[in-house]
Order: sequence, then structure tokens, then C-alpha cells
Amino acid sequence: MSNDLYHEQIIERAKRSDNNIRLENPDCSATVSNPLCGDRITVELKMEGDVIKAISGPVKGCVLCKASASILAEIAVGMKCDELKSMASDLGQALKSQADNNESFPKAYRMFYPVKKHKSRHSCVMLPLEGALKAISECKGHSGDK
Amino acid sequence: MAFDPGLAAVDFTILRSQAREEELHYLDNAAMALIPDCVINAMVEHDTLRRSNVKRGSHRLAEEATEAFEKARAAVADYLGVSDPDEVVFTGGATAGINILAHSLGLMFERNDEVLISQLEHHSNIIPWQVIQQRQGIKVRYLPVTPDGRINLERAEDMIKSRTRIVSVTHGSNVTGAITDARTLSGLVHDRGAFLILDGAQTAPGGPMDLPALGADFYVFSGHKVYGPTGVGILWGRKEILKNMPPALGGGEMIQDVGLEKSTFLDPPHRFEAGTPPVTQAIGLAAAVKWLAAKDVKGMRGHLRRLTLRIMEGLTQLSGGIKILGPETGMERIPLVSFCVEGLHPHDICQVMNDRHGVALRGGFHCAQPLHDFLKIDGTTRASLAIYNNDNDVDALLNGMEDCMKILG
Ligand SMILES: Cc1ncc(COP(=O)(O)O)c(C=O)c1O
Repeated sequence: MSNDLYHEQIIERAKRSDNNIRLENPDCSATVSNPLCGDRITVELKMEGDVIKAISGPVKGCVLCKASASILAEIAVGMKCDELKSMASDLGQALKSQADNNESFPKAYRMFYPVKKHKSRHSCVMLPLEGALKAISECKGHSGDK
Repeated sequence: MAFDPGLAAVDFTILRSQAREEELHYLDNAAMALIPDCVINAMVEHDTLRRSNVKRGSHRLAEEATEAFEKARAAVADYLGVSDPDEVVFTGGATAGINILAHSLGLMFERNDEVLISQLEHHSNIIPWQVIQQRQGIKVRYLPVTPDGRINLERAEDMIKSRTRIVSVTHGSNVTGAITDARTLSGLVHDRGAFLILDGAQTAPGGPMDLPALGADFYVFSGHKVYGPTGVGILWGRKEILKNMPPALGGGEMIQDVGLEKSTFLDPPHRFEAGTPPVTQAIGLAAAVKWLAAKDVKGMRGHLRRLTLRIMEGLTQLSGGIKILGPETGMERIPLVSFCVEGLHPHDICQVMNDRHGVALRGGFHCAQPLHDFLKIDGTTRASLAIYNNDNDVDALLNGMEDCMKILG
């Protein structure tokens, strides 16, 4: 496990993220931004009932934000709204926790363990998840809180 | 003899190697300069020996504190090259200074009067005017910026109209480094009977000046960028104008006579210093400008010009498409360089430069979003210099950037 913030796994992940694929006729979408650094991300979702069927959207952000968006794009499909919500909350908690290991991180996000000690960068990792949650909340008939 | 930045660096505990475990190349001076020990000591001495509120008491400590505070005002007047210390108002910083001006002058505006600012401004010289616009129905207009990041003064002539009451612009840009030709602008402004405000946050650190010669009516700056403490700044204004301005804030220390219906106010500068002023910080600011004035300022300016040029040339030579903002090499600029690297985010650059090279930079919008929107860039990375920076700092920046582009590119 690397303590270097920009370890290979994150950089490779960020490079893999495809920024510009747009969904045709998404059921809902939301744009969120971080006024401090100008990161902006739009999340588009296709839903089937309470389940995410497809997710995409343009990401304008730093390496951490792009890597986080890329992971989300991969794991969100098939997830229920509530599952996404609790994963986002777990990740937020893990970033803030005092633990000196990555075990409290949701599995897919363990590579972000070194971000923990850089408080000002937590929001870079969280932004894609916030975007997805905002999209869900704006999705008529698929409100996360049934 | 060549200027030796080491002679300034020794005055800073934070820069003496034994004080820190890691290497530090501090290139975020445009956000806040480091503070020399003598400035800290002056504040400690004041609070240790002379702490008391000013202007209020007749006991010994109150008198000593008041005298020290007024001496600090005189020291700042000296630094600015103005003969009357009563033209110097202590504020909380550049932002507070502009807000005081906007709120005071705003009370004298009529509907449809105009304030002309520019697209180059720091948010602190945009938002206060937008607030007045909303409240009083005045109009805020923007002088355009040239592609090389200067205020386009050629447009000033036709944009300053008979309804223009104020022109308020940056004297030196915290993003592009461009310096505004204040003298030319002041001619145009005064021809139309308007006032000129200069935001001097980035030019005040350049050493003692001849402020009246710039032709402006008001000038503001912050203590923390001129090697002073936080929480203090200066608003300078021509006395004949200040005299006729209403107060922006009300409270103690600025009144002559208080009635239930109506009160009368003291003359400037006190009229604009409502409440207990930042006494200790004012004493620190005075110590800072005296410290700077005692250095070889001419040598410092040449030294910083040379380092700025090294940064510009060094970055240009790195492969990977670095775009430098602002006036070309050879043109006058304040000692800072903002740049964009194709495909790299400023925050990633700053993080890698800090973590791997001990270089402190700043990334983002630098509180100048309209400028970034105009230039169609998503943020920049900025290196800004101060008196203690040396060639090692520039080497660390350039080598670090090369590494950074390898890692992130
Ligand atoms: C050009 C310019 N104007 C105004 C300010 C605001 O200064 P302060 O935040 O100290 O009030 C800054 C600070 O960065 C600046 O660079």
C-alpha cells in the first residue's frame, strides 16, 4: 500500500476515465462543482426502478476526481440507490477516520487511503459520488429515500 | 555588488534550516509573504509593554499605545511617500479597504451612475461594487483585458463616461503579473471628473513608493503581503476627498458627538476607523515596512526581475506545452508567473510539487474567476516571489515541474 498520494494505481485509473461519453436520454442528471478549484462534473443516470442501469458524464477535474469518477462508473451499474448512498457515506467517513489502515474504505476505493491526510483534497474524491446522489435525488420516481 | 537574498532570509526563523525538517521553497508569496522575526518581536514588545486601547484613555499605557499607533501610521505614510499621515486609514486588509470605499462612496452615488472596473480584478474588487449595484441601481462595467493579460487601456477613453464616478482597478494583477499604467489612466479618469482607486495588494510589496506620483485618488493594500501580520491593511486617500466622504461603518472611535437622532463624525482618518483598530497589527505592519525599506530595495527589484525571467524562460523550455499567462518577457511585471500545463490540473501540480519537491505553489482561480472565464482556462498554477527567494528556489521549481510532467503527464 503506497502512502504517496499520486501512486501508480490512481494515476492509471485517472487516465482510464473516459470524460466525454454522454448517455442518450438519461433519466436524470446533475452537475456539481467545487468552487475552490473549479472541478465540475456532470453525472447522467439511466435507472430501472431503484437500480442504476447506466452512468456517465463529463468530468473536468484533477487526477483524484477523475480516478474516483472512473471507479464509480465501473461499480455503480447494478447498484441500488440506497447502496450507493451508504457507500458514499462510508467513503466520507473513512476519509475522515483516525484509523491507520484502509480497512474502513469501501473496497473499490482503497487506493484513496493516502488522500486521508490531505483534508483539502477529500472533496476531489467525493465529488463524483455527490454528483450521482444529486442526480438520483432529482430523478422523479426514483427518489433515493423511498 | 549583486543582491544577496540570503541577507533577507536570515531574518526569518521559518527559513533558517534548523527550524524545519523538510526543505521549503516558498513560492506562494502573492497569497501571503512570510514574516520576519523583527516584526513578530515588535508586536510582542508592544503587547508586553504597552498594551492598551487607543484614543480612549488618559492613563499612561493608553497614551503610550496611542502614540505607538500614530507612529505606525506615520511610518506607513513614509513608506507610501505621502506627507500627511492623516491620509492613511488602518483597515483589516485590502478587501476591507475596497469595501469601505464602495460603501462610503456608494452613499454619494445616484441611480444609473457607473463604476468601471476590469476583467482582471480580484474578487475583492468586484463583489463590493456588485453589492452597491444591487442596492442602489448603479451600473458596474468592465474594462476588457488584452490577450496578454493587461487591462486594455485603449478602451478606457470611450468606456469612461460622464456618468462614471469611480474607476477601480488592480495596480498589479495577482494572476497575470501585469502592471497597470496608473498615470495614463488617472489622466483619463480625472478628465471625466471621476475618482481612481488602485488595488495595490500586489504592488505594495515592491518597496517604498511615491504614491502621489501615480495620480490615483485611493490606494489599498494588505499587511500580510508586505511581510506584515494578518488582520491589518491600509486605505490611503486624498484628504480633500476623504474629508467629504460619509463613514462606511459606525461605532466608537470615529465620532465627535453622539445624539439619539444624529451624530457627528471625526475627521479622516478616524472617521473610517470605527471600533477598536488592529493596534498590535498596525505596529507590526509599521515594523515590516521599515524592515523592507532598510533593505537594498533597488537590488531586490533587479534580483526578482531576473528570477522571474528565469522562471518564464525555464518553463517555456520544458516540453509538454506550458502556457505562461501575462506580458511577454521583457515587459514589466510583478514577480509572479502563472501558467497552465496542457492536460494537467493545477491542484495535481501543486500537490506533487509540495510532496516531492518541497515547493509551495498555488493553483486554481486565485480569486479571479471572471479573468479565467475570459481567457477560457480552468485554473492556473502560480509561482510568486519575495525578497528571500533565490536561484535554488527557481531550480527546485523548474526541476520539479519536469518531474511533475513525467509523473502526471
Ligand atoms: C490583487 C489583489 N487584490 C486584493 C486582494 C485581497 O487581499 P486580502 O484578502 O488580504 O484582503 C488580493 C489577495 O490575494 C490580491 O491579490
